[in-house]
Amino acid sequence: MNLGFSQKSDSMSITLKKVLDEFTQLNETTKEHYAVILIKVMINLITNSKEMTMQGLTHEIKTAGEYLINNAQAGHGRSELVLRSTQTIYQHYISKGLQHSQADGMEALKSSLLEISQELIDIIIRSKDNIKTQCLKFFNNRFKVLVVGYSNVVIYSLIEAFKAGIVMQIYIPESRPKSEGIETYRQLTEIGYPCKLIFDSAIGQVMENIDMVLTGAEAVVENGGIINRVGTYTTAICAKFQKKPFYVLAESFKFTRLFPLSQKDLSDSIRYSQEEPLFSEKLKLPENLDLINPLCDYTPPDLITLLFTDLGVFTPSAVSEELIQIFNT
Amino acid sequence: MSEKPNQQNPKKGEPWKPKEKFDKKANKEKQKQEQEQGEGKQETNQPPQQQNKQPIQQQTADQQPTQQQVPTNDKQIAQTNASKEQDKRKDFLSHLPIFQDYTSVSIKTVKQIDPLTLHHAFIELCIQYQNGQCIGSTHRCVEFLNALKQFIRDYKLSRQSNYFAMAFLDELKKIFNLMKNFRTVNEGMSTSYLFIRECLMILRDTKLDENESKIWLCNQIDQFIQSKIIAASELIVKNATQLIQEGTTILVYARSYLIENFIINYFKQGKQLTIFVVDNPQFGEGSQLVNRLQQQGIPCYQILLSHVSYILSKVDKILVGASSMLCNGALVSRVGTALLACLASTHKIPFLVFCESYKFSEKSQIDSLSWNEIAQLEQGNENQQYTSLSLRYDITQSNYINMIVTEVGLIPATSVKAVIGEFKKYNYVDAIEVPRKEQ
Repeated sequence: MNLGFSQKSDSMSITLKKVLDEFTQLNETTKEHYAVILIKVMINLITNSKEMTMQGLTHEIKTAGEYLINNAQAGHGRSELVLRSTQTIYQHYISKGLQHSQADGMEALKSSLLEISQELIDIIIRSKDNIKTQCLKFFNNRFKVLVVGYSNVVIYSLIEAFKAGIVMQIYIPESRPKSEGIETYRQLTEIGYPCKLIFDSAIGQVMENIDMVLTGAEAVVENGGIINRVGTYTTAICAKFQKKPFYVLAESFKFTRLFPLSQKDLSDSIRYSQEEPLFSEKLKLPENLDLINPLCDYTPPDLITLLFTDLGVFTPSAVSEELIQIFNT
Repeated sequence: MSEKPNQQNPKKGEPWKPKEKFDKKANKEKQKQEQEQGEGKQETNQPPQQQNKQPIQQQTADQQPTQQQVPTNDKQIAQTNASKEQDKRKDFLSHLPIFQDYTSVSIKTVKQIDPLTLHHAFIELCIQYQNGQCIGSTHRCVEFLNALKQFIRDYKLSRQSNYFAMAFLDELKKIFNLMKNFRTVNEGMSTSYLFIRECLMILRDTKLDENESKIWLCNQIDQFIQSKIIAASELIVKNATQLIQEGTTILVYARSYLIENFIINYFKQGKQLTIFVVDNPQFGEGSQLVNRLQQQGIPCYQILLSHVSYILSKVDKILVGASSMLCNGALVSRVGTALLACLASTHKIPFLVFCESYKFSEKSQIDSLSWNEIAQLEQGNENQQYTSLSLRYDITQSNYINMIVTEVGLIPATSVKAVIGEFKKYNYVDAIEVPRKEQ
């Protein structure tokens, strides 16, 4: 009996390590979205799984997902929130698929699960395009836009707008501590956008000239607020005070069932960043510096004007209804 | 109560006389005559059960039996008292229902007039509603369902009808109409009424006999209480325990069944909280909560609503219960909750509402006065220039509410209608098991 159990746990840990290796490898080599990579890894897991029961399979998927979330990095120093939300939605669709499938036998079940996974991948790949189409209606020539942080979706939408002939003046704050704004600046100027880089502290001063603020999101929480790179909350407060619209571009797999009420309610892994911030060598830093370095902050829904998602353009209060529909059908 | 008099068209050539509704004495005499005529007709024709309404309505103004001698003509005295009441209340709140105090003696006199009035379980319940022994939405609903179960057991099908389901449906409607005279039917009771109606529709299609139908119906009511109230309470407590970290300071208003359970459960797990209980002096529910917590050995502070602004800077979260949640996200709760919500939003303190899903309503209300309940009207002297007023409920708008803790999860206030929409697909409760004949 003992032998049997240890064999099982051994095989489990082997599969987990394999899964993690696959994930990191795909993340480094391919340029695909990390959510897509997660699901592809899951697809491989299902096809190679030796489980003979439905429950065993779902358990395996669940533990593999948890292991990945805790140990993998999505790249670009993102938090684990994106992986977590994708995993939750994926598990939900899997369990619904298992409930409603009329397949007999493990092989048929597995193939129906693989179909569901493939559908999800297609939806995720198309989500950027959907968001871009809706955004284009809101962009106009000679608008002044403030782009916060580095977001693939925002950059993609702006590039497509440029190709469609809409040229806007873009202000990009540097976004300390990771200085991601510089990457955004580089990518947008390559296309030909007139961009201006500003320091984070200058956001308040510049805000009166701005027409709209664009940002992405790490996670969209249940009341319609967002969790995003630190600095988003400050920018949102400035925008609200100056009565400028604050638009968030987020795909639907970023919707989570979290419900923070204040900055204190975020998990520790988000409030304390694991990475060392870059300081210039010219600054004479004191030794034993006591630094507070949060990774992300929470922007409440009353500061957000609209959310652009692949399911449609929402006000923050509609996010919860969408979540209820996703998780109850 | 008082019927609007018919306006007579002035005949041609006659001088214009002031319209009759300003002439109060003439009104009273006319109403007395009409009532007597109506009574005479109804006594002969209609079946005895429908006379329940009349004696109670006429005695709504009969406050205490010691006030006057045993009335010779109930109707006359009732009329004069009713019109006095209306004179006092010809203000902006005259559209709100007000329920007179019943004592057991006055209800017994009602019973003497017609023996086929409310079942005794309901009469006891209504007195408890009036005394304040049974207050709080969950408590009232559960007690009502228990009284209903007793009524079902004692109910005997009359020989005229063979179908238990349809006959009982009529009885149920009558009960509800009568209960409305004592206190308004709250949202939980309405949901349970809809549920029982669904059960009766299912019963109608089956072929169970009377006893089996009764047993099945009582079982269904038990299941409703179990799943919608007790199990929901456990889930809500579990959700809330994850929300609230150890050592936070919470503020609680009046007494809510869910919040009481949550606090007791939290302390049983060995965690600590600092609790402020805010009391509403008229209903005294806060003191009841404090007593209950002290019995469990839980320390708490008790303050009045007027003192809240002093301690708000030290409070982390505010928890309140609900009488019902409306479709537009507004909260109907004990009067004073809206005040607390305004204070909370000024100080940026999270305001959490604990509400089971069976209290979600499809109504929509913006202000507290379009529908409410008047708790008491102090009977002063005739010379009194003022009327004292006491409302029972108030409306808190959705933008003051941060989160609602329900058994389906944590939802923002704007999503109430989405949850109602989900429930409507299942007729408010989970699938009802169809009864089968036992062999």
